[in-house]
Amino acid sequence: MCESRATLPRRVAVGVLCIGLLGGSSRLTAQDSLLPARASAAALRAELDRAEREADSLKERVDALASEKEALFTGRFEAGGRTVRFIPGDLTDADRRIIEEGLTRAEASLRARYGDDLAPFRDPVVWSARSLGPNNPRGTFLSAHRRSNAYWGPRDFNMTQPTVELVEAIALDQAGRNLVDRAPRISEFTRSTLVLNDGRRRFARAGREMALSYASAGRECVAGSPAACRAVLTLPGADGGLSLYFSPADYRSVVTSGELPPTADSAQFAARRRCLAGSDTACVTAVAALSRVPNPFSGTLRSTAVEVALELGGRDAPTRLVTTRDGSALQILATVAGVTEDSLVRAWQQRVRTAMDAESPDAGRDGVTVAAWSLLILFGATRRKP
Amino acid sequence: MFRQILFTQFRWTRTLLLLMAVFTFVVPTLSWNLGGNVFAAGLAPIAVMNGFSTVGPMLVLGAWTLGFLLVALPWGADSQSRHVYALSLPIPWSQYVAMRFGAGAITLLVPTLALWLGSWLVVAMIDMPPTLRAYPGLLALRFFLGTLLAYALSFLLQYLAGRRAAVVLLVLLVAVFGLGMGLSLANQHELLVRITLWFIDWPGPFSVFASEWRLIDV
Amino acid sequence: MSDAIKIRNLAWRAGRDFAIRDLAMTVPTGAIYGFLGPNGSGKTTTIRLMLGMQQASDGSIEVLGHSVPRQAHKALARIGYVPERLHLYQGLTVEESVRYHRAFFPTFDATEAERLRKRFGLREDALVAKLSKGEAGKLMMLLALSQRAELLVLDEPTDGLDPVIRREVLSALVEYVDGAKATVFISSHLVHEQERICDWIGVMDGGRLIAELPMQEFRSGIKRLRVHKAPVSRDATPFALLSRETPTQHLEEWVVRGWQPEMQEWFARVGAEVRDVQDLDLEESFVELLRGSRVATTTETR
Repeated sequence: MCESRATLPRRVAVGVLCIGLLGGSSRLTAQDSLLPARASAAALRAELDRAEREADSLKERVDALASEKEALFTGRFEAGGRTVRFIPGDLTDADRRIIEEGLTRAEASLRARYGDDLAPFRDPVVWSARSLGPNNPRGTFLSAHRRSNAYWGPRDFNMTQPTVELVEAIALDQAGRNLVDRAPRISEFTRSTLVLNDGRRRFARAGREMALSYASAGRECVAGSPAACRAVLTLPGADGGLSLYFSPADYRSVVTSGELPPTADSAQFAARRRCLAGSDTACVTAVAALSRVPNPFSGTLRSTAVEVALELGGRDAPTRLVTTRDGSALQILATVAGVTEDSLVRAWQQRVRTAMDAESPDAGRDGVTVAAWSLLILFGATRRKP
Repeated sequence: MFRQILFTQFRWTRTLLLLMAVFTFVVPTLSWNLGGNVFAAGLAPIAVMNGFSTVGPMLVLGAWTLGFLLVALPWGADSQSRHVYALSLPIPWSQYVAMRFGAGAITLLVPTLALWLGSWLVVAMIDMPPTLRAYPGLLALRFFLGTLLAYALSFLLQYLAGRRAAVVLLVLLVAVFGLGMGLSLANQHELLVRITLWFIDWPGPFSVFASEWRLIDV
Repeated sequence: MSDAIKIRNLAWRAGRDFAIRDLAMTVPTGAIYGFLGPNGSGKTTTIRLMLGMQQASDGSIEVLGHSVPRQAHKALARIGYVPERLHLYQGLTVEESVRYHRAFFPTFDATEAERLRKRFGLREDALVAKLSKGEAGKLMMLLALSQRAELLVLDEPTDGLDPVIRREVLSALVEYVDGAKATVFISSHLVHEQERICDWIGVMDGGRLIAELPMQEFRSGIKRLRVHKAPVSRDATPFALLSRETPTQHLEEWVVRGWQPEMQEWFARVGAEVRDVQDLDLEESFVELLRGSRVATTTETR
């Protein structure tokens, strides 16, 4: 919610709300955790984790509340057999047809994969709408409610096609969110992210994230180790994933990205300094002193495993996802997929590596483009004698 | 015929080509050192990749410089005689221009090759994390394509505007800047972005410069 | 016999000050055609139009049977061209220049080029940029002659050269023409030079071809007459009256073109008498032609 891209007043309002809540929860956490922390470092970490989860939960509630509040001010109309809510902007009847087409496409895409199993999770679709300006009558521009990047039309001023694609993407995105929001373990696992459209690029990005990670588990997973992949798809325990994700060789990077507790003593600060200066033994000490080890892998990365599970699980996979409550996220996903955990991990790993290979750098397209432009330019250059 | 045109092209631009070859040969090493890196073992993948982050901008700058000078020098030699020699040759003007263009394009291989060798050299000196891969060939190819495009545009400008090329270029730059400013002031940011994207988005003319010019990638 | 160059109704304009108007010219195959005219009369422009380097606004040009500028490249393959100023690449050596030139002309004779290089005393490794004006002129002539061209178009080829080099260049040219039976179109403002080698003359002034005739006719057909009791009217003369002056009260000096002795009868019929007929040398003829043309142009304008 605090990362949402919406209209400016809403963004300001929500931003203020988020800052207040996050700041407040941080202060609360620090003060409340002071006494237990003195008692035991492990207890302090556990307390911090619990507080963090509470803060996340609060953020989600704020998000939901803001959405509801937003809904009060949005327009609504029926499109594609669904109720669509939007912030009144410059939507016209013509745009309504565009939106209907986008929704129909999303609908068809979901139906093709999951039949009617995803139907309960489709609504509502919410987005903000704004106009490109009075000089551009066809330029009604839709910015996705939760898309990080604004969608700019490609190379003409007719926004019809991009808008259809955008609406489709929003609808698929929303359906995915609605689905994982009803499965708390999976929601925690993916940080409430799930996109249900064609995802080769997302899988490639996931692979890239692992390949560049400072956690050896990610790198080894990309290099081919199923055990490392399994670690990547496991949420960390009390030690913040130190033993799960990292090897001692990664400790320097962990120290760089981790935080020392406010109660850290001078010896711990010195260990941190020596570690960053190059001492491996000091890194072991410095890592042990960290109050929190950030998870090196994003929810988006893990959400790709949910996509694989849903694909493997077939048409009633969405229902199994929300009804299976016991076990770890990986166990739930294996159940959804109808395969063993190892098979799921291998399938996911395979998907990631295939996507990485397909998305690996290639200059073929540039070659064709430059050759075509150069020939055109050359033709122009021969038109006039000096 | 073409061999002779290639010969003259090389003759006029050999100093420039040599300087550019030296530049492209050292760019990867220079970039690595500018990033304050050492050829140490056990570097994190992201550190290795970021170590070459200045390779792209430096090569783009080099591509434009080379592209423009590679046209200006032979044009200068031809325009000394007001192109009388070129025009008195028994081939159609379009064929002559095409051969001049082709000859220039071939000489671009000299700095490209130097870049490829320089990249190989620096990659060999790095302890490469297993999840990363070096792309010296791809980087060199991209540099070649970028330079070819800059060369083609410069070629067009020079052969259409002749001696007034510098003035026309200046006017174009002022017009582009003016358009950008005008659209910004008129609050037409979307339009400005769209126009920009038309140029840099595939298959726009400058899309090659918007690609990833990376020596190291996953 | 066909014509090597045939130009009809040629028109071209450069700004307000200069234009070529209604130019018609015929250069017979095998002729050595001297193209005379003062500086700025349009000789070089006509040559550039003739070789397809510039585009005429009207008219037609045919060179060696090829329509120019459409088929200029085909004509150029059979033409040896020496421009007014050095056009070769200055960064190349003599040997490299020969090699470059040779690549474009299928009829290029490398042995002849080497022979001429030695004859002209040009060093193989000498840079074109470092050649003296005379050496540069010789190199350009060397390239044009080595092409074994059917038509040589020479634009002021000896302008600025010292007499020794000029003689060397011209004798090489004459030798070539004798051997190859080529057509030569030679533009110059050096009248005496043209007189020695040309058999046809075209005179250009102010963008117009004011005379085109065989050298023999040019040499003998322009006379200065001393006319006693000259008639006032200049109409219906059997010759072209280029100018008339009155140095004394009863005696006029007429410069005429196309003079024949039997034309004295015309004077007798109009009550005048020719007291003296003087031959003019080529330079005087050239000057009188220009004067006559300019007077006529002024009268037309009025």
